[in-house]
Amino acid sequence: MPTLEQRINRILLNVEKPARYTGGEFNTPNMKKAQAHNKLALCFPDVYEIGMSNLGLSILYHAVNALPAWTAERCFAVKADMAREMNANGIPLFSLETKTPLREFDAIGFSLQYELLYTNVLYMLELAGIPFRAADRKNGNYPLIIAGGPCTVNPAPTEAFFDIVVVGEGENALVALANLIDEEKQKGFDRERVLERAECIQGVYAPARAHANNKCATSGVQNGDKTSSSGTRKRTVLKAVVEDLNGDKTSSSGTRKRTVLKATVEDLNKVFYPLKPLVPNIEIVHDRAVMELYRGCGSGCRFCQAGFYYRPLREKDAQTVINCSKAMIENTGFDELTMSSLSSGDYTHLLEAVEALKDFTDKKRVRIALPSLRLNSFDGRLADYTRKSSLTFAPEAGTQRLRDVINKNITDADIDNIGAMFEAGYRSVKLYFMLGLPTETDEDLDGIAEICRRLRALYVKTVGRKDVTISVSCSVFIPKPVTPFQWERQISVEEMRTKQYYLRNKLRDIKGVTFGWHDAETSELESVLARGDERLAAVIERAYADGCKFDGWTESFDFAKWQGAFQKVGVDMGDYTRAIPTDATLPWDFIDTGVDKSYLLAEREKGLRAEVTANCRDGCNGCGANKLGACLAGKL
Amino acid sequence: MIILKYRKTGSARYISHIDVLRGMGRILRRAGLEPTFSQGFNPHMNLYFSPPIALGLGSVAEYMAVDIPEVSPEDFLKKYNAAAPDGLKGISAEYAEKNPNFAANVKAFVYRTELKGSAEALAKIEKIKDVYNITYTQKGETVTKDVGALIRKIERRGDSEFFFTLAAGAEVLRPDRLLKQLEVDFGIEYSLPEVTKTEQLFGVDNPR
Repeated sequence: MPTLEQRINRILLNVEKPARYTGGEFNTPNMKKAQAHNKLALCFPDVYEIGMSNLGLSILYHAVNALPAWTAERCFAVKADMAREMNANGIPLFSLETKTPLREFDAIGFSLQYELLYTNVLYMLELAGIPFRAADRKNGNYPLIIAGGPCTVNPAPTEAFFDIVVVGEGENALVALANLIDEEKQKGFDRERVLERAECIQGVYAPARAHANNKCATSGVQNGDKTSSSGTRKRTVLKAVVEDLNGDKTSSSGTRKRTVLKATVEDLNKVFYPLKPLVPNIEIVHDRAVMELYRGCGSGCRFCQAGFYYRPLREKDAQTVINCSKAMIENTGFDELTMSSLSSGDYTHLLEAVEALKDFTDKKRVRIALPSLRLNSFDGRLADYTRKSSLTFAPEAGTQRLRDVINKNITDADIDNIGAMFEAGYRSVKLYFMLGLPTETDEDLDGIAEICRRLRALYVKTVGRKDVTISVSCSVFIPKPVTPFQWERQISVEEMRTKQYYLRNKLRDIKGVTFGWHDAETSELESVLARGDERLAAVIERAYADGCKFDGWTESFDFAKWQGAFQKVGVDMGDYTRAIPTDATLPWDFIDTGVDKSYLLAEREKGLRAEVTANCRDGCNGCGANKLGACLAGKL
Repeated sequence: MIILKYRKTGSARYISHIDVLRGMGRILRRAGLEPTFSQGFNPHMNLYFSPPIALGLGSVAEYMAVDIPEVSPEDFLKKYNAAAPDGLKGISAEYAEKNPNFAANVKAFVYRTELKGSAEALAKIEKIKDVYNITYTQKGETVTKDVGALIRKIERRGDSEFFFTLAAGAEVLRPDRLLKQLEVDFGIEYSLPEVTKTEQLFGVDNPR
């Protein structure tokens, strides 16, 4: 009998980019550790090139592999050609490292990076031969299926599929969970008991026990974050607060779920960071070393889920960034290092770190990339350290009024700051905007064209040539949970197309400007899934059964099939796209992200009055997140 | 200039040539080896490779010339191997005066494979000479071609181990196409992922 690996090798030459499925990357941890008797499969429900570009997955993978009792392996969604070959040859979904069927793992973790990947979770489960619903896995010795990633901020639409949902920053919570599973396995694995104990880990939600009594207060909280000792107290206090809120109005279950407090790492200088990340053998989307600078964001843009979800604001020290960057380059040989976080230019020690790294990166011929710069945070001096090819900025809205509404604190004067970059040698600017924002009018769209015109004139004036290229990219505003705009309506597909058409005409006459926009239909679906409730699990199952997968890929997205699935299940998409009354209970109200709902509401009202809120770095605005740990280590 | 002979085995067989090029740059940087760089807006390491091998085939005879000052072949090999993934380990390294231009000088590749079949069939394969027609599809079209002259040598060792020396360079015979035809004509069995290139034969400027 040939081994599974041999059987896989026989089909690899029939598929595109076979190295997606082989593993074998440099820095792969030892999969034959003597004491490793537990196996975790980390699944990313998109293709290799995208999944391998995800920092969170890399952190979790190496953190679990650092545990003596565990090995973590990877698995990505396979493309249709591979799925066909696997099905034709009876090959189940397997892990890349040891080619083990997923079904044989102790636990499987899915990274939910964005809503349009939900059907791919079912796709992977099906290829693995695992029932979709947790309720159908009670008997049969299936792996524990765990979800993590930003989408767990609203677990409701997908919670039926998971035994455990980790909300918030996963590294410490997952390690605590792994230790717990190891302990329970030695005692004789009892699923119910594992779930009951897992709930005591900060950030862990066991959907099957949403309404059950929780014994953590008496049995003691196992906080994954060893630097925190106050987990028990926090949970009790927050629970009391939430129970004061209004009664349940939208949840289909009728009773309130137990509050789940998001997992948070307190000290970013002490938390695990992978200094030996995998070096992919084929080109991936973000093919470079990634240095995380800080978590959270002080900007407070009112549409931005990450900006509120990842609070409190915590930075790594300059020395940590410098040391980790050097180690990563030496351990990987990457020729590019990206300084990553929600708004890199805001990092207190950015210039210091980049300057300190210059000799090293010059000698090693390594480029430093600075993504996510905000216009007002750009320091002309930084241009000396990065490659002078293209600049990317996100004004998000075309007029000062609308930027004030969304609290994107950029002024027209800041936009003129780009002149400093033109002087430094840049010739190409990418601008990101959002269409369909609350209170948006045609005047705001005109403003986008006006910015392009101004930038072009600025370039001609500073450089004396006309060879600048400006690329305008417009996404669609989607009201996301735990943001001040979580109650807003989602603009309709027709309205969005009208706006896109209008803007295209406005931009057509400006030389050197290209215009790209995001599809309105995928945005509508994303919006529905983002603010969805438990009723959507059946719709996701229906859509998958009807052939929907890889919904984030334009070539495979089929809106008509999704509409059909909603219809068949009897759920109206409109229920999730219209404005939500601010006094309604939201499906994600039981998730405590640290930011008070009252703060979000106050921010919403300020926004609608076009009043701005200053950057948290200039002083605390009192969102409430600092109960999870002081912002900027209490330096505010 | 250092010439490295390296293998492409295991999962590395599935890495395309262009990805190997990128990967080599990373291996050298990890190894602390510092080749010279080209000039221009996007400088790259001065590396020169022997012709690309088809995806999926193994090899223990791939070559890369590296323009690098001040390092001995021994040192180079040691540092390279400490930084290379298993499937791309170095086999040997030596000095060369200048870029050997592998592509222009290569004459033939030797492939090793196991063939399973009747004693009669294997004996016939061993004796293939002069004229041998193969049929394959290329860009959607069926092509039939006599490749007898491109089969330079067929050597059999033991029962089932075969070494095929096939033309390379100006005219190339791909082993997958030949093996497919042998399967059709003689009913033999083989496994493409287990075919390995064991040698590259070069002309007058043979760098080895």
